[in-house]
Amino acid sequence: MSKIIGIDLGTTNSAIAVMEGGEPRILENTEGNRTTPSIVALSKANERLVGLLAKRQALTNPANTIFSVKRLIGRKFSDPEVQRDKAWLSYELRAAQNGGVEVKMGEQWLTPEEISSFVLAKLKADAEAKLGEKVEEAVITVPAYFDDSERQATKNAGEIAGLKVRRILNEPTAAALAYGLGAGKQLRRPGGVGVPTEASGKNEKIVVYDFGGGTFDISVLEVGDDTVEVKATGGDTHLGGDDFDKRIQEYLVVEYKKQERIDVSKDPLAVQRLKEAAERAKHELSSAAETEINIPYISSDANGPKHFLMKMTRAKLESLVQDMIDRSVELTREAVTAASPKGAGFQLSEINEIILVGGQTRMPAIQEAVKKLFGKEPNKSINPDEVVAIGAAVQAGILQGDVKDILLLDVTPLTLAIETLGGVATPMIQKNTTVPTSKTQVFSTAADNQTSVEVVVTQGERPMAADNKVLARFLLDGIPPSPRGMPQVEVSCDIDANGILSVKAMDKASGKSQSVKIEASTSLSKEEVERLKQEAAKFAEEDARKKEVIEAKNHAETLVYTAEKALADAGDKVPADVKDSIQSKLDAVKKVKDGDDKAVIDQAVKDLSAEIQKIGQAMYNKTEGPGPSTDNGQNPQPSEPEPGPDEGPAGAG
Amino acid sequence: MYSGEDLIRELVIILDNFDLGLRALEKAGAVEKGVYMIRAQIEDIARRRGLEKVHVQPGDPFDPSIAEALAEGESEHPPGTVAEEIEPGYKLYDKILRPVRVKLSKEKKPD
Repeated sequence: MSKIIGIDLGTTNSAIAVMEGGEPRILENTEGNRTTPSIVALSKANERLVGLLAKRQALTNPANTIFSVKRLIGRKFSDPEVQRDKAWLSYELRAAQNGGVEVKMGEQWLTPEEISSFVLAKLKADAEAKLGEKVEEAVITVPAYFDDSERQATKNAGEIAGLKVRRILNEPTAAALAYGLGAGKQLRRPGGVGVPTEASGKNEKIVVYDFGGGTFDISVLEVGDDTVEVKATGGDTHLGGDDFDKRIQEYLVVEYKKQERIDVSKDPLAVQRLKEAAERAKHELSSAAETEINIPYISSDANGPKHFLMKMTRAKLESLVQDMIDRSVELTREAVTAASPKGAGFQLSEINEIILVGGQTRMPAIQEAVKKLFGKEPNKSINPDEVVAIGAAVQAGILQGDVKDILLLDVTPLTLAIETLGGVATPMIQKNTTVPTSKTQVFSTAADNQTSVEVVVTQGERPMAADNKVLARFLLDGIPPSPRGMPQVEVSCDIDANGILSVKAMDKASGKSQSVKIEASTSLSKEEVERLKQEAAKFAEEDARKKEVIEAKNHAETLVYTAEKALADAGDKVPADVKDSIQSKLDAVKKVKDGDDKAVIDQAVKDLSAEIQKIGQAMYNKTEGPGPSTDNGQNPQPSEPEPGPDEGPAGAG
Repeated sequence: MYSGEDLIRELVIILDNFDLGLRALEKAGAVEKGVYMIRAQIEDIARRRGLEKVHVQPGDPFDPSIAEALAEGESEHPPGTVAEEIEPGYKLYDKILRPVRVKLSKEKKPD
C-alpha cells in the first residue's frame, strides 16, 4: 500500500509531510525547500509554472500569476469576500456559469479548484520523488471555517491532481494532532498538549492561534475522548506576516530617504535588497535585542555610491507592528469569550492549551502577548510553519493504521436544517454531532394537489431558514396529486467523515427520488472533475517527458565540456584525423542539445561518447609505441593504479 | 538542507556586496589587485563547500529554475528573454541558493 501524505494547502505556502517509522516528517520539494509557494503561473513562454518558479516571475508577469486562490475556492463570485479580493488581486476574475469564480491565466479561464490542483500535483510529484514511490492518497487540511462547498472544492482539487483525498481535516485540529492532543491521551511529544485529565470524558479546551503569511485565524477547540469540536473561529483574512514585512520595509525606505534624500522605492534591485534586509532583521530580532541593517552600495548620486547602515532594535520593530499584534489579541479574546455564534463563550482562564501556528508566531512580542492574554505559556516547540502538515501526516498515519493511540472524529460545526412551511429552518442534524452521521425525517406537502416540493438545505443556528446559509436547493417532482399533508416525502441527510453532506429526498408513494451531494452550486461536477483529472495526468506525462529532455540536455552539456577539455588536454598527442572526427561529433551534439528531441540528443551523445574514447586509445598507442596492442590500451596495467575520474587518460600529463 | 547552507547563504550576501563595491571602484579607476584577491578568498571558502556561481547572458531565454525576473525594459533582444543580468546567482551543489536576478526584455513600443 502506498503511503498517505499529509498536505497543508496554505493561502501563501504549502507543505507536505509523511509518517515514517512512527514519526511525522516534512518532505522537501524538488527545489530543496520545506515549503512551496501556493502560486501557479503561465509564463510568457506559455509554460505552466508552479511554486517557487512561478514566484520568481511574478513581478514581471502579474496578470498571469495566480496566488491566494484559497481565498476563492468553493465561493460564489457574488460573495462579498470575493468582491473585496477582486479589487486587489493582480489577475482577472469573473463569474462562472454556475455562479462560482473563474480566474484568467493566459487565454484560459480556470476554476480555483484547477489552480489548486496544479499546486497539489506538484506537491504529489515532489513527494513521490522524495519517497521514491507512487503517492495516491492524501489528507488535506482546510481552515475550520471552510463550509461544505469550500471543502468539497478542495477535495475536487485533490482528485484532479490524481490524489484520493482520504480526509479533509481542519487546520487547527491538525495542529493539535501534531502536538498529540486528546484528553486522557498519552503525550506524543514532550511539552505537548494533552496532559491526561483526571477522569476520562473531561474535555480539554484548546486555542489555535495561527498567524500565517496572509491570514490570521483563531480557532477554539474542545477535545473530548474521541472527538474534536470546533467551538468558535475568528480572525482576519487580510492580516498576516507579510503585512509585518511590508511595514518594516516601508519604514526602511523612509529612514533611508531621511539619511540620503534618495527614494529607492523605484529601483527594483534596491527594493529587493531592502525586502531581504527587512526579513532578515525581523528574524534576527526574534532572538537578539538589536540588529544592524547593513546594505552597502544601495544607490548612488552625483557624489558617488551611497550605503545604508542603521541599527534597529526589537523595541522599534515592535512599535512598528504593535497595532497588528493588538488586533490579533482582540480577535482572539473575542473568539474565546464572546457568546455563540461569535465566540465559544469560554473564560480565558478555562483554556487548557494554546498552540502557535504560522511563521509570524516566532516573534517574541506575539508569544508574550498570547501568554499575557491566557496567563500561560503557549505550545511552540514544533516549527510553526510545519505544524499543520505534520498534523495532517499524523491523521494520515491514523488512517493508515500507523498511529493507534488516537482516534479522532470531527463534529459538525453548525446545524443542518431543511426549510419548511413559513420559512422555518427545521433541524435535521444538530451542531456538534460527531461525523460521520445520518438522519432521516419524513415531510409532507403544504398545499392540496402539490406535485413537487423544493428541498432547501441550510446551515446555521438561526430559526428562520432565510437567516442561515443556503447550501443547496433541489426539486422533487412527480408527487401524485393528493390533499395536503398526505404525501410522505422522506428526506435523509448524510455527512461523511470529511464533513461533506449529501441529501436525498424520496416520495414514498411514487418511489421517485432526487439527491444532491453538497458540492454547493459553485463546485465542479463529477464529470468535470474526471475530465480535469485526465488532463492533469496528461500534463504529468508531458512534465516527465520534459524532465527527460532536460536530463538528456544536461548530460550532453557535461559531455561537450569533457570532450572539449580532453581534446585540449591531449593536444597533438592525438592524430589530426581522430581530432577532426571527434570535433564533428562534438559539433553535432552542440547542434542538437538545445532541441527537444530526446532520441536525437541521446544518439548524438552516444556517438560522441564512443568517439572520444579514441583519444585514450591514441594516447595509449603512443606511449606503448607502434604495434598492435592486445587490450586496445583501454585497461591499465595490473601494476598501475587506476586513474581517477578527473585525471584523464593515464600518461596524459 | 546541505551542511553549512546557512553560513554559505550569508557569504553570498558579502560576495554580492563585494561585487557592487568593486564595480563602483572600477568606475573611479584601476582597482588594487589585492582587493580582488580577498574577494577570491571568500568565494574560495564557499566554493570548496560546493558553491558555484550561475550566470545568464543577454538574449538567453528566461529560465525561472535558475533566474528571478526583477524588472522589464526595452532591449535589442526578443521580448521575454534576458535583457540584462542584474546580479549573478549562486547554487550549492544542485540547489539554487539565490537565483540570478535579471531584467527581462519587453516588447518595444512603436516609435
